[in-house]
Amino acid sequence: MKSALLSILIIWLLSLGVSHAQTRTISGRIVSSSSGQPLAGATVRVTDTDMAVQTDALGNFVLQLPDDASNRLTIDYVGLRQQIFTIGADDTILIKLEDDDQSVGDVVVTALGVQRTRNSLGYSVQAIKGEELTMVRQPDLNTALAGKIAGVQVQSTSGAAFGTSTIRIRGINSLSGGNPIYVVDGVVVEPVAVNMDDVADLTVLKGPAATALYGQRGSEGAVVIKTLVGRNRDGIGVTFNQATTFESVYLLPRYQNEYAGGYTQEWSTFSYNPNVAPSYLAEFDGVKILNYAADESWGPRMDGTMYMPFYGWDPSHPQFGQLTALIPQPDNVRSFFNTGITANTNVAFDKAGDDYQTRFSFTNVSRTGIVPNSKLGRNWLSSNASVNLTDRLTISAIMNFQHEVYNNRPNDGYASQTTGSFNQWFQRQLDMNTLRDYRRPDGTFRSWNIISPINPNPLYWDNPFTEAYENTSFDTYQRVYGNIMANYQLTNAFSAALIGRGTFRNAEETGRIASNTLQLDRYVQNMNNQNEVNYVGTVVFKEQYGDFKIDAAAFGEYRRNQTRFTNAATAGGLAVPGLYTLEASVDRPTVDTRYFDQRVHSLYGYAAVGFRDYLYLEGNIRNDWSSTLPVENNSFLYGGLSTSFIFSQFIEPNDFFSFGKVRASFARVGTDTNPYEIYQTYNLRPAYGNDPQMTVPDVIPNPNLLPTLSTSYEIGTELRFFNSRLLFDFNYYTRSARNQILNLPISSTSGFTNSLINAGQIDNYGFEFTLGGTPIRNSNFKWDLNANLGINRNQIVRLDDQVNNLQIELDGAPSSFGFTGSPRITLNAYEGQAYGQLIGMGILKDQNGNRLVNEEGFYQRQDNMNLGSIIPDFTGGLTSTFAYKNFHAGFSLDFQKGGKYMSISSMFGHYSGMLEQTAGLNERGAPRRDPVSQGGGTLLPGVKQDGTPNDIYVDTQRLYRENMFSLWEEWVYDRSFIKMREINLGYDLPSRLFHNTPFRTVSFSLIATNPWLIYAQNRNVDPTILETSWFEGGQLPSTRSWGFSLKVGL
Amino acid sequence: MKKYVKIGFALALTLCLINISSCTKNFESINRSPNDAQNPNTRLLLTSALRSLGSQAEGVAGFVKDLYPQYMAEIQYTNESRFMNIIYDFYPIYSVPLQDLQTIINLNLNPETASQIYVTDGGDRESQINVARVLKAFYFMHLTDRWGMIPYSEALQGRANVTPKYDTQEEIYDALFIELREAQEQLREGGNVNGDILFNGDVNLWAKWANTLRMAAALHIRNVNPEKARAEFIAAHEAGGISSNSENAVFRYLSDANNQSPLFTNYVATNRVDYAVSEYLINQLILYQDPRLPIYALPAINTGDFVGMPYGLPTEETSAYNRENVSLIGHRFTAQNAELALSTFAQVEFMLAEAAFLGWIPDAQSHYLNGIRASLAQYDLQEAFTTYVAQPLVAYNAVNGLEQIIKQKWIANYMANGYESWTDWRRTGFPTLDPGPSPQNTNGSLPRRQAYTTEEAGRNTQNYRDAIARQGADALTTRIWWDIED
Repeated sequence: MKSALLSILIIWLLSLGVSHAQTRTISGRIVSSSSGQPLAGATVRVTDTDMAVQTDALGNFVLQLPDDASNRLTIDYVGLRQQIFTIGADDTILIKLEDDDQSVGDVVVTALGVQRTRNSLGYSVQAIKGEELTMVRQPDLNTALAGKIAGVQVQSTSGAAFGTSTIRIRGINSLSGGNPIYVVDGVVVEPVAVNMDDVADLTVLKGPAATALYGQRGSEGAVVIKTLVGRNRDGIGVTFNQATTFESVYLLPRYQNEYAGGYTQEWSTFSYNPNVAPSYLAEFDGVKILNYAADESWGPRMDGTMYMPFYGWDPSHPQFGQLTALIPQPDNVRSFFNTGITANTNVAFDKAGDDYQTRFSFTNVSRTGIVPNSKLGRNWLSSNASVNLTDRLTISAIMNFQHEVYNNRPNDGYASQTTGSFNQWFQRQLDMNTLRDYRRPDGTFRSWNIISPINPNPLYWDNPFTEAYENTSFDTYQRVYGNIMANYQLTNAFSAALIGRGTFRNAEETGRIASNTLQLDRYVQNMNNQNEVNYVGTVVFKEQYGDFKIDAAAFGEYRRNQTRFTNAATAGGLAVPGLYTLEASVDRPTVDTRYFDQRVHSLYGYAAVGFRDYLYLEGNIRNDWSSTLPVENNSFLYGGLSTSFIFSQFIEPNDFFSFGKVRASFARVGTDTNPYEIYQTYNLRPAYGNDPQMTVPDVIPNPNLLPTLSTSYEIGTELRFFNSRLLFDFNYYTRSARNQILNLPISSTSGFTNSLINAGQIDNYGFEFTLGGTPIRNSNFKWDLNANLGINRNQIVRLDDQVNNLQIELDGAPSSFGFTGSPRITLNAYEGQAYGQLIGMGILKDQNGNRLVNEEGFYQRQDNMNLGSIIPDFTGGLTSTFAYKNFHAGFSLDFQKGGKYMSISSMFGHYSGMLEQTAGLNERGAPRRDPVSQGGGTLLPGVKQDGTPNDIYVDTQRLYRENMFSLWEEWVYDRSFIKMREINLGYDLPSRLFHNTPFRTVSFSLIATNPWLIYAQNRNVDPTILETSWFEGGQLPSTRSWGFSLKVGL
Repeated sequence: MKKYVKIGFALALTLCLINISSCTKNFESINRSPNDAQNPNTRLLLTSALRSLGSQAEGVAGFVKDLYPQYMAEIQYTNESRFMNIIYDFYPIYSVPLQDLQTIINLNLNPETASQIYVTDGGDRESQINVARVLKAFYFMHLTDRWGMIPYSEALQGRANVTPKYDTQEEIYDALFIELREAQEQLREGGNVNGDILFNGDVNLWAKWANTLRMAAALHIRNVNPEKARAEFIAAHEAGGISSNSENAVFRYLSDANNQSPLFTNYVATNRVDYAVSEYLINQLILYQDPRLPIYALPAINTGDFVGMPYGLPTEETSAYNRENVSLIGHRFTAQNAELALSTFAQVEFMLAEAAFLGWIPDAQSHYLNGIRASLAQYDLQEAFTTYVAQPLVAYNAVNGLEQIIKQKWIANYMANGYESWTDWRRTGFPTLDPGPSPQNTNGSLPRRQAYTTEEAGRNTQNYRDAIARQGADALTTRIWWDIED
């Protein structure tokens, strides 16, 4: 590498010495193609030489061109697209530079992949270039969108779980949550199937006006992606990208480091009982012991006292029988985790000629997680080719293959055996190094949570390393998707196309609970096969009549979705320990096999009319026939109208106001349901011996179900000022869903848990703002800033004729959470109110809002209190990029204001005495954990029943284990946050350094992802990676990564 | 060439359009689930409703049944025995067994379905209906005894009423007496029912169980409505309850993971061993030199002695106890295929003894002794009977007869349907149970009812509020209708 650079340098130095014989004088002017304004300070360079001049204030330049020099000029202006201009006979030239800024970009991809000029759209869209997605190498597409699109809320999961994020567009429209569809070259795919290295353009379509042509599946928005195609250009057509990042634990809860495991500060001692204990333990009679069976940390002070650790009782352990000092281990949890390494490598080949284009791409992602023994491998192969068979007939095919393998993807969630333990049920004094050697020579496992000195079996918890290395899982996914299309140009105006599309997914997920661990050994094997096939026929019409430009199309589509799965698990243990097969099941294995089939037939079309360059009108209409609805209701018609007007056309060009557009739209979209939901059926249960069992399903089917119809209105404006250096975009929308299909949870005293209904009416409205600009721009430096903000409000207008509250299961999260026997916290949507109210046990307040304590000094509890809404006040993001000569840098952050979430980790972290707040000194300077009678205890802020300030100290352990347990108000937090998602700093090597080499471009970047959670109310958890949409039950730690990226073009 | 391409395109497009707009005829059959049965089967539904009996969530097998009457005590995590669990979920009982039973009744009552093979497969029409009525009555009595007012008259109607009102316990008991009387009258005539994993299709035993349940129901209400209680009890007794151990209503767990006993799951499958025999029970059995002690409990591993676990200790005080130094529950009750006795001959005899103590029928003493004999016989301890009952503490003494009867009934009911023992405590105060050093949420007592499912407040809001307004706070301390203060 070093020598290559050196030789490049030598070549460059030699080229300086070349003398010039004769010259030709070229004079010219550089202007912006969008505004027509002259560009001062642009660099005009003779291509592949160092000969360059800069334009003056009026954009003029004069250049002495040697006769033997190239006749090509390279013009650079920061922020505008580099242009190579070939000089003809004329010595005076005018060069227009195209804008490179995506927000002003001319053409965007809209529904069905139709490319439209941005000006013509009557609804709001946001577009992103592929390079912006791969700049910082986020692990998945949705995370890469964080902060970049107004009105999009990104919900991430911990990097430790290799999770992918989900996004929600314009708040919650559908009461069961609902995510947008991802459409790659017309094929609907899972977001994880998208290879960011292949993305050319990405557009987020937000409302029904933009997505109606996708029909029902686009009702929650659409992310439309066009992949890269082969290009005709210099070089041999190879690009190579490599990025390596290092991931480590970022946030952990603030633990206490004063007290060890146990339930009491008093020490216990071992008393040798010859009846039950082996004689070799006799000598340890009287040694100090901890309560190993406890999975909490209310134990003795970590003051250096010598005691027998859990492994001291294990004759197979090297430190058998050795006392050790009880000292704090503040970094024990952190030291469990590794540094994860992700290597992302892409190589692509592309080539195009007059009548063909091809592109092939291969991407490999190899990733190790922060949890030991967790790994992820992902390979993509894709090809994109088209060929013009005749001058009228074009055939194209796009094919993507993805193979994904997960080894031991860690679980989020309550009582997961790693972080579910560390943050909720653990002993603070444990040194991770004493756990690493988790296996005894005889094949059994060591746990810290032994039942007693003479019983080495774990009580509640395996060793976390046993969990990581023995209770393993192995998941593989294969996804194939693509399309093949024949397009025929019938006349100049008419063309017709036939398209076949498919997406196929095969999944195998297997899991083991190892023999001889805490739980009965078990093997689970789930096989899942999903596919979707579409056939589309279309006729497109494009024509210009005078000032009118017409663009119309009609489509017929056939769609079939099939899912097959077989989920099986052993029951009653494994016949042969360590044999992980279904055949090894001791009892009859449990098996669930299912098949689903859904068909949708559709006819749809659009017609767009443009008048000159400033007035546009577009209408679309679609009819779907869905097999999932009752026959008499299965055909539904919807569509929309939108218009756009560029009023700045009627304003004299000036330096202040550059561009103005208003837009308005109306749209309606219809939605069906899942297969097999309208007829009554009956479920089998596992047999009782030889007696089969059947039960009535819990959901009341609905044979009269109607399609959902959502109606949306949207108005907005786009304004640009100061030669387009300041951009403002505003959008207001309303949306009203009628007959929303909901699986309404009902009182089970009716005999059923849910009823499939058409809910009355649910309304949403919201605002989206984008403010962007280029505060600084000169020949060397450009600074761009883009901020966006989204606000969404909703109301349940009417729900059901009998039920007036919807306890919602949002994005797969349960509608309530709680522990057996304790009051649960529920997620509610009452008629007449907004969606997302948390209701649960709260603290009684006096009329001034002070918390009331009882005569013992504990909070007075009151059930069924409203604890706030999970809906944010607003969400938004900020991105910025800097360019200085060949350096470029950028960051993006996103934020949320308001919205609540509930944290189980926080509740149990206190319950079990693991978190900082349960230890230390109290309000009167004594150890909080000492008895109240000795000055200890905790004083709760609040007032007594008589209104005087509380002065009664309560026992700290009782406080968190009794009073605060399931006192949900205490564990509901504000979810506001500001998070830096990515930072990058890059350098593009000047092309003249290697103009005699095959290299076309070389750039190098330093990148960081999720480097900084700038603000969060409760830093014991990361609110951006909650396990579910409204609570976390034991999240894996948030992670951050840094690394470097290299891009080479040949 | 061009022409053919054009024609081809046109043809293909036309075919597309025809296919799309017309070929939706098979949509109805496409949308019929191949995964589940299209028709019900009443035989299989009955098996399911009976299987639920042994479930913790859907039936009567929750550990709390053995904690409230202090048969067992929690060793390390003592929340439930300290009454920190307030809310118990009645939803699954409605949506699983009760809904299945209601479906059996509806299919047999509907003339269109009653003659279908998937209904006649379950047995004759009358027997199916009346067996379902008895089991339904059992579940509903279980429900009202735990929660008090519950949806009954408007429950189980599906979409027709998804917000059923709460009936008073008095109304429910009135209805249950009628249900049990009518059902047994018909079942005594004979008949056959299939899928019966409780009595193996013997409808006569169903009639006897119905009478047994009616006798129990009568005693439940004897403090609040003595006349009705007496009349119902005598009528049920004359109709004939369970009259030998072979007629006991016993749910049997099986030796397979899908049908195993919950205590096996706790003791063996997950190796948690959260429960030991309570100190109070062990001490009573030792005091009575009870021959059932070594069957009910295991000696502590450390000492070889029978040592009970103190009931309801705060967790910080549990450090002194572990599975090695207290008596664990006897193998018979922690076996994978353990039995769960719902109603037994011994219970019937103790109920008769109580009725005799009240003067409703003669001879309290012999019924008391019969009850003890029947209980000992369940464990093959008949030989110990004479010695056992000869002890002054055991021999019947009319002065404290009620306490003796209920206490022996309590011992006999070990690890069986403990809710009935809790009910006996609530209505008689016996045995005298100490709630432990730090009971929560009960004002220093044992719970007198359990609180409703959290979701009721949000899904059946008005009826839930009405019930609380009528019955009292949704708390463990609120007394239900038949639980009047002396």
